[in-house]
Amino acid sequence: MKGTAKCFIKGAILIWIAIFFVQPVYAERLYVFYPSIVRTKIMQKKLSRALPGIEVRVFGRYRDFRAKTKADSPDAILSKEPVIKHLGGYLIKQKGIRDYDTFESYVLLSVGKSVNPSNMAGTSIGVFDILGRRGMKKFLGNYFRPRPRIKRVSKMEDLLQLLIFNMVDAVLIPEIYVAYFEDISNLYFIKTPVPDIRVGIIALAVKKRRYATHILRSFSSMNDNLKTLLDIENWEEAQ
Amino acid sequence: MSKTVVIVDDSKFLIKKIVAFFENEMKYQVVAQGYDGNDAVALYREHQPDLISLDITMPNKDGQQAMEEIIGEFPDANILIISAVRGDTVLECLDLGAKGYIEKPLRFNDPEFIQDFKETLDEIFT
Repeated sequence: MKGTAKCFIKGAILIWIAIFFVQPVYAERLYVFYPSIVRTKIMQKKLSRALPGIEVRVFGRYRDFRAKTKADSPDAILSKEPVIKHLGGYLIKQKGIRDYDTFESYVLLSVGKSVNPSNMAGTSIGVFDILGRRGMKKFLGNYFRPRPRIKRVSKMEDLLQLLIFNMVDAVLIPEIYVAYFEDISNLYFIKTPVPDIRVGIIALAVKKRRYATHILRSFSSMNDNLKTLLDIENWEEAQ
Repeated sequence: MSKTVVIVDDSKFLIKKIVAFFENEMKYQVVAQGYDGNDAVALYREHQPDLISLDITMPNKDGQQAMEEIIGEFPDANILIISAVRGDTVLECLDLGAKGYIEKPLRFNDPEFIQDFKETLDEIFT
């Protein structure tokens, strides 16, 4: 009887050791979609290097990000707040801060003539697509009346092309990117603030009922270069 | 006989503009259009044009990767990079075998830009 008990205990220990050591190390997955002037490939390289042990995947297009996030259910996603809320299923844990604010302002950039954000009748605007066709229409409909015609692009630089080819009356961009547009163009821009639009700069959200502890810890200790890459100065815990 | 060109860019409205420019201003024959690096490689194999214009930042496979594959298979390929990317990547592309580089934004209503574009194409074929 004693021998049987010993055998049982030994077996249990061996099984426990096998489970503990043989189990493959699970890399938490982080999917990123952040409209930026930084190329997707560069962002992928820098984030992957700075977040070891995390499987990072950066997307340049909303459509691809949405499809892969729905299919793979990564542990966490990094994106604009409206994108995270639109997707559903993720809880915002950290918010990026710049100038003591987690929100950023937007401006309408036009060439030759100004636009009136409080009356967009007959106006067309170019936007970086962060929510898809229907999502963008609905999102912009909250701020502009009547809703302008919308031309969506998936690269920041393409917004400038819309202006150069006179395909839109103005483009809607975060205020911090005005300098970028001025830098890559010799056009004389007219900046029209849109005070109603204040969008969360960037947020980290974790899949519901998952912990993503490694990702959360890595974000808490993120280096300054990476924060700069994401246009922020720091992270704060979401309330 | 006019030269043939394949245009690859992930922006549909830009492709239209580039196609119109090549056909109307340069009198090239645009034989195909693609929207990512995979299209670029496949269309080059299929058409083996006199020139392929490639954007760098594209989904699935970027222009630089596509260029490497095309050059690997067709070392004499004439590749023109049309991109807003600046800095090291441009030099890398030229080192890898791109014959010319046109910087976005494209300003097809600017005579100086058009002249630069034409000179770049002339250099590729001389």
